[in-house]
Amino acid sequence: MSLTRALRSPSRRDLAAQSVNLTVAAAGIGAGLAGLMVNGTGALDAVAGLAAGWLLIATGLRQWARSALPYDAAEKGRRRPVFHPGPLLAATGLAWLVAGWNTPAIGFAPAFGAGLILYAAAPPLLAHAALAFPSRRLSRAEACVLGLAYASAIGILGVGSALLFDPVTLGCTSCPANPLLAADAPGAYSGLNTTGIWLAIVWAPALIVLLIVQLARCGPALRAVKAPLTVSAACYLALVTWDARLSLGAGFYSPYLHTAEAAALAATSAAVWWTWLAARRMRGEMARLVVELAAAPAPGKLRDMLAARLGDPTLGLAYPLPDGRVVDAGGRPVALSGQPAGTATPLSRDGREIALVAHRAGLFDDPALAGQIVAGSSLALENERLQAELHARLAELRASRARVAEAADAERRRRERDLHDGAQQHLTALLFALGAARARADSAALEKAEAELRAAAGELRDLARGVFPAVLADEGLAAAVQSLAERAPVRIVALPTRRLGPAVETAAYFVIARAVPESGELAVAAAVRDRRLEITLEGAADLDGDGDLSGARDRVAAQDGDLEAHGNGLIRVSLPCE
Amino acid sequence: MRVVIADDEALLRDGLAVLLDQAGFTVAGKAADPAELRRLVAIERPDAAVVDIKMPPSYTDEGIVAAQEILDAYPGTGVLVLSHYLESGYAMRLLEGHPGGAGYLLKERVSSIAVLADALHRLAEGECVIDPTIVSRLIARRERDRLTGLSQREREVLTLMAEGRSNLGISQKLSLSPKTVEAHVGSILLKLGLDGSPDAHRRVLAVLAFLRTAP
Repeated sequence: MSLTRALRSPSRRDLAAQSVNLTVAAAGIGAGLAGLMVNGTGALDAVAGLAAGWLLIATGLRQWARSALPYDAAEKGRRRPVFHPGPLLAATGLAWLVAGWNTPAIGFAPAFGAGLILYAAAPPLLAHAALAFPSRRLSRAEACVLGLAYASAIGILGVGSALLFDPVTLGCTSCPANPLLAADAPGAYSGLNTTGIWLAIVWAPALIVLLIVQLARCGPALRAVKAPLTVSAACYLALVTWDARLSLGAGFYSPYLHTAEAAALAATSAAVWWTWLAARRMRGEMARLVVELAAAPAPGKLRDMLAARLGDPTLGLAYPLPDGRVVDAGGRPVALSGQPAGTATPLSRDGREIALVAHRAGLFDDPALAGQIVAGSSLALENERLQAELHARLAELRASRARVAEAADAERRRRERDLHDGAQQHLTALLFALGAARARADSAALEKAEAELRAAAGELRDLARGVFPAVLADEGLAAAVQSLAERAPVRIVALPTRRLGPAVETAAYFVIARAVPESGELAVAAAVRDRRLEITLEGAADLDGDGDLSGARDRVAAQDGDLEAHGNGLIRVSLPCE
Repeated sequence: MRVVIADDEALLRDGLAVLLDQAGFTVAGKAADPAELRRLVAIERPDAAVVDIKMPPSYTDEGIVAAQEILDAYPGTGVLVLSHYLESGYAMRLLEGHPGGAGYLLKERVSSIAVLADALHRLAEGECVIDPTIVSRLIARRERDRLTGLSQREREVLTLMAEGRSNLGISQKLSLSPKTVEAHVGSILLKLGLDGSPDAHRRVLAVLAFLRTAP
């Protein structure tokens, strides 16, 4: 099963990404260990901080490798760029670890400087990652608040403060020299720092609100996957807010605050793993789909399989045709225009749309899913698409045949009317005149002329009726066959009394009229069952060898009906009707 | 006897008017469509109306619809529907609402003044009129089966019954005594398994329905 293996075996790209992961994770561990060795804080806090940092880095890089799929190509060139949550998560972890270097014990000036710059960078990075997860364009409000957070955390609290922070002036004698110090201005530093912290007390809760709003707005499938991530990120931001309040000297100090922040970051990593588990479960379903598809599903069954595997019973599968129409597996046109946004996803292979999935909102929020479906079922999809195209073409052919038959019938009716309104009227007028003349001067010659003329009128009437019986259009099939039975050897067993639509009535009538045998009697039994007119003819004439379009088989086929000639004069006709 | 004519074809309207005039009827008015016909009947109150089956706007069965409206509104007025169609279905529909005073004749038949006069007089007397060609076709169709139980004379009587004639009319037509005709009618209804309805019009309908029904 090569397809299954393709789903599971890591690609070369994955391997490269994993080696990067390991390298960076190792670097993270090193950085954390360095912080641990020089930091005088408690061992639990140190280990928790270290673990949270490198877990986040490794998780972020893995996420980056996972979602680096071609779907992003379509996202390029829009107004706001889409950030990968992966690098953002890794950056959060790194910032978190580097912030730990902001301590007198580091004893190494460049590291101390880096710690100063990044000491507040983790919260906006994490919020950014959580908002953008799994691959989402930020809203305008989110972009604004995040911009404020980055500016305040990295600009004011990071770079701004670092430029003005002189550890010696502020009483930290054991601190290494600040390599970034531009001007020693303790008053300005204190003002800048206080402003930055106050801003953090504004943007951190604002980001929590935005995270919750965003979670509430996404589809149920994505919400289930994303909720742990949003909640843990929100917890971290809440702790950061509390931390900021403490820095201002308001509220009580908790020695466990840093440990709690580390725990929230670790939970965030775990929440991202949870999304991988959910995706793996979906891949498992896809793998099962591949196995099911090996049994070559009947046309139209692919939808049922996808619906079952994806857990969306309302799922619809449609196929775009080369002429731009969209049809279902049976070739019937489907309207996708009324589909709400985000509930129709194209499945593409080699850049060509092979199918469209209509689904409940949020089902395809994992952008990898469409690719997985295509990978697992492209053969079955192609097959069903070709079948759908064939069905659509057949329907077209049938419609065109029906149009031709209808045009022929309309022409027959017109000819009947022409005979009726033209020759027949004139003959009748002539008969009236002859009758009047005979009333004045009766003669054998006039009487003979009138008789001849009456016979001619009768023949013309029969001719017009043969072209198209007016009673068929006026009174329907039963009256027309009844009338046929009054002039031809036809025995009526049963006839439907209600009207069935002109096309079906005409087709049925001409099949019956054509089946009237030269000798013997035609028995007609017709009834409507399950929206089909079923006609059984016994003692029928041979219907084949009838090349022109008015041939019975063509008429029935044009109405999407069936005609079976069983031999011995038995013919069964089935016509769909309203 | 005053008669109005309705036909969308001026040629036939005028021809018919001449024929009716020759036959001794007074043509009280001519109409080209159903609305004009209804107005004419309301004003002139004729003894009978001669109506073309196909008239504007749809040229399908306006004549039958107009006939039934006139029969509903003016019980004293007979309506003779003229048609090119040799279809018993139209005739049955016309008669089903009002068997008395309604007639269905092929257009070409009325060139015979005798037939036209006979039909109009019968309608004025409340009888109904069914074209003999339709009746003979129906009879011929049933010859094959149960009609074989009827005698030649009974078959003639049955034909005239189906054409809408009363017992008196049949006795005159066949030069038989009314009593004899009555006996034949009773025997025919018994043999065909039809109710001996006291209403002569209902009797026509029953006979026609029987003849039309599949054996």
